[in-house]
Amino acid sequence: MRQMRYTLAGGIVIAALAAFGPAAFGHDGGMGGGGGGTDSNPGTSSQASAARIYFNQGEEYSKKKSWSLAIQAYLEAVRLDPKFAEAWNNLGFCYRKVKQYDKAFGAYKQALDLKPDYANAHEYMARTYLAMGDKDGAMREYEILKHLDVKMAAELMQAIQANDSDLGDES
Amino acid sequence: MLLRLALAAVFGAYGYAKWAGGMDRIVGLFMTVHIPFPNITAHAVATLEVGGAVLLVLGIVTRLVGILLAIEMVVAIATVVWRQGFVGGYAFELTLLTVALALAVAGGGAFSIPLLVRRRSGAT
Repeated sequence: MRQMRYTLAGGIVIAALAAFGPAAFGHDGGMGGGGGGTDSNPGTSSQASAARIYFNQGEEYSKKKSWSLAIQAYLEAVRLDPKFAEAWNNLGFCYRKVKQYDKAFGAYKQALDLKPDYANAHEYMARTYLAMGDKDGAMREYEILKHLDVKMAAELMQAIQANDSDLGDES
Repeated sequence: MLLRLALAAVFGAYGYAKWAGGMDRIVGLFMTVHIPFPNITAHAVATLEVGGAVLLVLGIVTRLVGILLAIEMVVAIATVVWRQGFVGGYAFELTLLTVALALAVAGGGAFSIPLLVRRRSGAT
């Protein structure tokens, strides 16, 4: 009986390692082990580097406040690498700047699906709520943010108190 | 015993990291994915990971620890990493889940405290 149990347990482990082991070496920790999400760039490395180029381009356009060009660049980045959380987040930022709030929320949701503890995405989401006049929504995000980044949360609180979504906001 | 030690090392390290300063981030993460009572749950999870690691090393209540850690992994996969896909997503948690389940089935095995005690009392 004992031998059977060990055989069964060993079988489970060997099957798991055979099927999933190689993939696990590139893991990012996730919640379970306790880590929490970090960068993960699956897909081919050339796609990931191309996505990074479009991301950098998006940042440049964003600095110049060329929002529609920045949006195009970020869209291309996430098309090439759908797991590029920072690109999704910046895309949401640009959509907020052109007042396309639904699309902004969609982009933030993608970023947070990939990295639930992504402080910047929570901040931007709060600012989007604020821009829409939803102070309660902004406060909900603030409550999360203060656990993730105290300094960022303090800056957000100033914006909420001033009812100004752009206060202290930098691209 | 190897499985016990491997799982103990992983969970012990992550649990310790939570207690050593990562707790707030875990609370924020739990709030994001709508885990009930995020503050209490985060502390409970960190305690389970550290306490579970110690128990696994000693081979005490291995089946129970295996089941609890497996439940934690199921919740982690369902609420957090499932949406991130397999590679770079839930592959790691799935592996931990499988090892935890294997221990829940097999028990402490060789070099566990209960087995050593049983052997000693059987010998006398």
